[in-house]
Amino acid sequence: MIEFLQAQPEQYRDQIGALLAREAIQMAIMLRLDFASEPLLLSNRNIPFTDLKWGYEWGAGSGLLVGLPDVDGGDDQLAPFREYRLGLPAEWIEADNWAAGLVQMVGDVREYRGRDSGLYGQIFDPDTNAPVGHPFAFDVGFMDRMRVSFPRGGAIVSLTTESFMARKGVPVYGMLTYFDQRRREPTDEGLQFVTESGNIIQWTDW
Amino acid sequence: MAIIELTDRLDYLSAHQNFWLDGSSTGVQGLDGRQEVIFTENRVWNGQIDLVPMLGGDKMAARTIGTRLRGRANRLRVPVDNRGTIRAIGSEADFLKSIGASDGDIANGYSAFADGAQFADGSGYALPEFGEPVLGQALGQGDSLTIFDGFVGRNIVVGARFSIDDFLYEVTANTFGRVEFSPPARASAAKGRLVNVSRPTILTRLKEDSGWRPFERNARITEDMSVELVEAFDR
Repeated sequence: MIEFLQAQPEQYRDQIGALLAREAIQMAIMLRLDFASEPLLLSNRNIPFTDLKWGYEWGAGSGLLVGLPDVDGGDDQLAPFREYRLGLPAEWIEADNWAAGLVQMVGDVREYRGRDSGLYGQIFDPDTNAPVGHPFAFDVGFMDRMRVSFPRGGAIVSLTTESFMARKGVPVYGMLTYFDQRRREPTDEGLQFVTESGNIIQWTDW
Repeated sequence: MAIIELTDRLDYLSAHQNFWLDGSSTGVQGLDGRQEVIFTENRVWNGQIDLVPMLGGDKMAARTIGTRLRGRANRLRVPVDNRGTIRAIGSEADFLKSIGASDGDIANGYSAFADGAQFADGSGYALPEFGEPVLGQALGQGDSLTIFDGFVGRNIVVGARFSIDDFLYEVTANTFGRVEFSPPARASAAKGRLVNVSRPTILTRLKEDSGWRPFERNARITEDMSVELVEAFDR
């Protein structure tokens, strides 16, 4: 808690501490997806607000954010990723060929792959409905894959983002072969006969 | 998409009309029984209108509204009943009568002192102005306080509703025209913008695709119908 407060500007610390000590806390959850053409700034409020740190206006895409992932992490997680679910943008319902447009959006990987994404929270003063202090990050990472599915009568875009905590280069399926080891340690012959003897080595906790 | 009007006639046939402002929160209960509630400003209007049995032209009108609504695709504009506060409905004389002006005053166009005396030039106090109030200051998105200019607005009762651009609000406090309301303003509006107090309107969608279904008994008369609505935000 102290660390959390220290990350906030000094003039807001007392106020945030008091607000968090209350039984009912007004908090918004915000998602920022840095698409190449235009960043998408969403929040779970139905009226936009402007944050005090960057001055972004959050919440333009009303109703777009339909599902949030459970954000977890820890030393037993190999490559944590998040999957955000976005609904059909309301303005597209009127377009004649919205399904094709959506597929095209998903197909344009330059628009999103490897670009920033972030999930933030923001404390509000419940009496004034005004944000207090700076947004704080729950999770930041990169956008990776985007898929679109068309359930009956609609569309849902699933966006996978990879956390900064992802450990790149960890063997797929968590098993280490001789070749994996040679790629990492070119002179290590220790695993040379492992596959031949039929044993699978479980990748260690590290 | 298209906006379908709930006609005055069908509104008249609404036996009950209710609008509630609902939000959702999340939270946990501690082992000591105390709760922590985490909430955000995500309140929307949920409504329910109950229509009485209808015959003939009314039945046809109800039928076609259902067809034109196309499930949840199109929006329904509903006039909100605002009984309980002063409303500028009907003629100016009716309005003045409803707020207690005497016939004589209405005929004169002004009211005199209690003893019947007038100002030196033969005039008296102006009667309250007839008509909807206007915004006395610009309204910003997210505001929950504004100024109403006009007799109907200055005297709006706490708990009464008003609408601007088909967004519905409810008055939570009023100090002679300094009006606090909820939910926070959905959209901004310029100073001088007309505020709809006498007959507020709200744009809604059906809560369910098959939410508007008049059941026609023996092909003659519809049964009581209850329609659930949710607020629409598109403009």
